[in-house]
Amino acid sequence: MRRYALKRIFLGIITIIGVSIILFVISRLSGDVTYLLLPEGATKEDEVALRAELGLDKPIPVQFLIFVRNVTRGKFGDSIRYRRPALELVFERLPATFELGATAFLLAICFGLSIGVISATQRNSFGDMWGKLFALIGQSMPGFWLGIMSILIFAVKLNWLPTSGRGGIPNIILPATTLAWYSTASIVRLTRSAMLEILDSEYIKTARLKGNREQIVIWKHALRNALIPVVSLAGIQLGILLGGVVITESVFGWPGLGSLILDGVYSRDYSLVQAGVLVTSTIYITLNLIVDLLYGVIDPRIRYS
Amino acid sequence: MAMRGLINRGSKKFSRSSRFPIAGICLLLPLFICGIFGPFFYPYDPTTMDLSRALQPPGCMAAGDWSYFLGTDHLGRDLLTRLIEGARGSLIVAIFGVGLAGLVGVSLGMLAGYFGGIVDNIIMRIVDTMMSIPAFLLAILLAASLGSGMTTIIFSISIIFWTGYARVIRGETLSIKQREFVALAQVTGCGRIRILMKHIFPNVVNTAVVLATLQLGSAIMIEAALTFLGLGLQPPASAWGLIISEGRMYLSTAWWIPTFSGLAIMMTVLGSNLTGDWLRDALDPKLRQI
Repeated sequence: MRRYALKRIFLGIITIIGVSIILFVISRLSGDVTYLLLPEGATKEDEVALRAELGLDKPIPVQFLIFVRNVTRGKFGDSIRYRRPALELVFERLPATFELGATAFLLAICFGLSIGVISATQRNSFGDMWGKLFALIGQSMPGFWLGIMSILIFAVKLNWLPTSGRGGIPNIILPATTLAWYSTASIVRLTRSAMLEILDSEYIKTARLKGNREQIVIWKHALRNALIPVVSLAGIQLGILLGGVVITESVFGWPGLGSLILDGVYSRDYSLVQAGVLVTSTIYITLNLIVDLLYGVIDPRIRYS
Repeated sequence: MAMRGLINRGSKKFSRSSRFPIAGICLLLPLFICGIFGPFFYPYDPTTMDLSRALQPPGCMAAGDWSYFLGTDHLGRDLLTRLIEGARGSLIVAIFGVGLAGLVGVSLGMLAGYFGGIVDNIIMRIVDTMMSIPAFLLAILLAASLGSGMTTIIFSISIIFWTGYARVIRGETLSIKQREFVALAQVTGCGRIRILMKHIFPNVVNTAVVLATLQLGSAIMIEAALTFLGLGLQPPASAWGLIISEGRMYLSTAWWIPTFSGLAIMMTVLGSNLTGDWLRDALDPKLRQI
């Protein structure tokens, strides 16, 4: 297990380095990076000074090494708009995004697994039909549209919940549900199909023959095995959640990292965007690492292969 | 491997594999018809503004007028016409984006699977790294760097989706490589490129088609989301995401603007998912975990 863990951690570090390479390449894609990093109304002297400071007059490999050195020291440059170090701003907004993302993820797992199991164990019933419909439509609905519609219905027409902003539980209900929708639908779908197959298998029949109550058979034996592909899917859904957080924060005015990155894009504040994307990717890679390790814990076949 | 078998058989019960996907095709067809032949169907001219008719409700409502079937927007343009016009932008972006992704992804996947060794390692490391950046963030990053517009979106979508092709096609190539006809082709002196094109490619193309159909819907969703944020297609181009973002300001007064445009997106994506599921079951049951 230790070897498996160490190998995964090493690969994770390599991937983070790879992501910084991609960020470097993309920043150079538009041609002149100075244009991206100069504030409004900058003079020719400012441009020349910035170019020298960033080392843009040096060859590309040297530029990349300077970039890596700056990144490892946490220096992404200052945000042009806020006039503060970009990384500092990113870490300031992280808790809000974590609150939204974690809530959405928990919602997706809880509801996804429950609806999936109920749908699988009560096949062709009313509940199953709704489960299948939810899964199908949930994966087809654009997140931002769902957000706007839910604001229209629950906040504007019914006046049950606030329209935007961060606060207590009433504020987080709509954004978290919107963010979780797509992932919940995917988990329902996969859990249902995995459970349907497992419930027909030999070892489940044996568990029933041993006299176990049906509840124990479903939740202790069948679901445990169904969790293996679901854990894998959960890792992928984390990436979708981290991407979707940008839209959700924009629609609901949630002051998190996603809306910060978006602000950076609108105001051409490239340092901010770069810092935000790298931090988010690092979080994603770390969470996937945890998922991989969890996978090894749940399924002994993986860590011995 | 056992897990894969579990998911395969479970999914078969989930999607009605034997029936022709009438629902899916019916939902996808409007996109193609409107995208290609749209101008023939416009009830009104999409660019004509008539501020005296702004924000009229749809025909079915009491205050509405049946001549404006789905109502009008804030500039008095007929919503149905704008939706038909918007299909074109979405269709072009989805087809070219997914097409380009498929081209790059299938080629690199075949190369990685067939040649193995260092080629495989390099390509798969690149794939893993790119998949470690959440897809939507990558799209936003590219918009920040390259600006908005149709070319950037097509480029972004192809960058997001090529990795999926590469991974899956690499796996397929690895298993096809083991089969006898490939060994026989090598023995008879076939060049490697010829083997790839004549023997491996026809066997992986099914998988690629299934992936492309499933990704069509996702591509449209990503394009709509980017356009909604103002990073995608720009006015005066018409796109469903733009209509939703414009309608956001009139949410409480003119609910039909964001509602019908969102429904258009949802129905198209649903169609793509249903058709893709059926294709997957019909062409390549091994793919059921996708």
